[in-house]
Amino acid sequence: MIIPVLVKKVVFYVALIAGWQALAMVDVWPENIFPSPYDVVEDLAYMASDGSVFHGIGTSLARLITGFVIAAAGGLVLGIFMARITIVDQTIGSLVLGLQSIPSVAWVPLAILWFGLTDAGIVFVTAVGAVFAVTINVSSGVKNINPHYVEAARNIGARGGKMITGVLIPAAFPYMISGFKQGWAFAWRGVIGAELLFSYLGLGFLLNAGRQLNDVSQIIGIMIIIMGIGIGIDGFVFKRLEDRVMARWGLR
Amino acid sequence: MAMLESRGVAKYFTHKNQPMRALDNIDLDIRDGEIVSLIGPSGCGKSTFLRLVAGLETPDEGQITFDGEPVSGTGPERIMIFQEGALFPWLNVRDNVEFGLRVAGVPAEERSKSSNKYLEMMHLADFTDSYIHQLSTGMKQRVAIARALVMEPRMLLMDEPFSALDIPTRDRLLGEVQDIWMKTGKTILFVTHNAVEASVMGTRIAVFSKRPSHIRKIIDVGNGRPRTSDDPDLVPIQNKIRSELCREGV
Ligand SMILES: Nc1ncnc2c1ncn2[C@@H]1O[C@H](COP(=O)(O)OP(=O)(O)O)[C@@H](O)[C@H]1O
Ligand SMILES: [Mg+2]
Repeated sequence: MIIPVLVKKVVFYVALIAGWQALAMVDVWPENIFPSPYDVVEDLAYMASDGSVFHGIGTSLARLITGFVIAAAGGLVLGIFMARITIVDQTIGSLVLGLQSIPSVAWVPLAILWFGLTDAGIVFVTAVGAVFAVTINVSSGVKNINPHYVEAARNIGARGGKMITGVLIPAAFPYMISGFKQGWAFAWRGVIGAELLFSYLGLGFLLNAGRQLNDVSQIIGIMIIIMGIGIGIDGFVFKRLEDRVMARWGLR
Repeated sequence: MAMLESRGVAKYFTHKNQPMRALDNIDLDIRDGEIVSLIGPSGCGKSTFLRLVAGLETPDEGQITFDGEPVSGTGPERIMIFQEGALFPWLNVRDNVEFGLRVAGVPAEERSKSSNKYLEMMHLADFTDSYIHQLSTGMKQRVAIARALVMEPRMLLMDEPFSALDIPTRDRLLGEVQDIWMKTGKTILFVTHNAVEASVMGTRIAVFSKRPSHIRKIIDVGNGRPRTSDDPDLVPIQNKIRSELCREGV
């Protein structure tokens, strides 16, 4: 018998939550250390009713989107230059690979000293954590373009900016999407990490507040929201974009 | 003065860190309105020569002139059609065909007038909204030809355009390209490794030697058109081509 994937998933999550509830009910650990799913939902409902969770989501998303847009634009430009100009690739390219290996939270001390405890500081950490992943993917995407596309375009008159917007970007787009996806994932980790350390509004701040208040159900509740947003945007925005591009190219 | 004159053209590549002489000494004249077939063993430098004429590469020795002017870079009067079409998969058929006009800043109305003309000529009118992966190989080559023709080139540079087609489709396209030639009088440089295609298309046939290559022989075919691949009059010419290629050891 073939069980639909959705059914398997539903059964799994229902079992997971039931198991969690049962474990909480046997009172192995005190409730304030190991809350039940019911406690978590109650806590989320409370944070929803006073608006703090929505404010946290809004703040984090605004920072995420700002940081991501900066990273995507910067990575696009830098990646194209790296792919098309050998000396840029040989010099800046090696630096980009090095910087990519720095986890985004490692930029936090620098961001605090440069920007203070501000939104700009958090956006900086977000953008810098994502920009190099985008750059590397864009660069390898542009390098892998079928050279005949570029030659045919040049032959029928495409030069400079028109070559970039008319051929290089669309031709490398399937690659670029995976760069943006990766950049997005790095940006999301970057925002939360930065907010935790800056402790200045947002979901990361709510996590930190939960720790300071010894409120484990708040912490778990916020973590579930962070996971939900991560999955949601990947599944809705990027997956749809990817499917559309792949279908048009006939790659799927 | 011929439209295109190639004089002592040589081209080197590096192969395993050694300089490799691909083209040795290409002397060739192509007159306005001719179809010249280039045939030769695989790897002898036919595509390289076409790319030099297109201005996608520059000769290391010698010179190519077009209308008396040295070729330095690509130009809309010389348009290349690649073996696999090199069509843009992110654009539909119409936008592929109009690409060059759009880049040149031609207004939309003029653009569609011009693309309609060539979409019709290439029997693509019902496929303007299709994306490239939805087309058969033969249709793709029609789009590639239409994309070249909208540029109103004086010379078409066709690099084994029909080598991936089945025989009936190829035969139909051989006919269509001759029709276009008769209607528009374009000069065509037609690269192939197939003696039948070379004899059907060429007013003259230039046989390349092995690498480092020069032109071994030029065969005159004459002007009767349109010709078909089963034309018995072409058999002696095909045999001549084959025997020239044979003497090259292929
Ligand atoms: N960009 C290049 N770099 C190095 N070698 C090349 C390059 N282009 C062509 N060659 C070599 O030059 C020779 C001629 O190639 P080509 O013109 O494609 O031959 P043909 O089209 O006649 O089959 C081949 O040996 C090929 O490997
Ligand atoms: Mg070739």
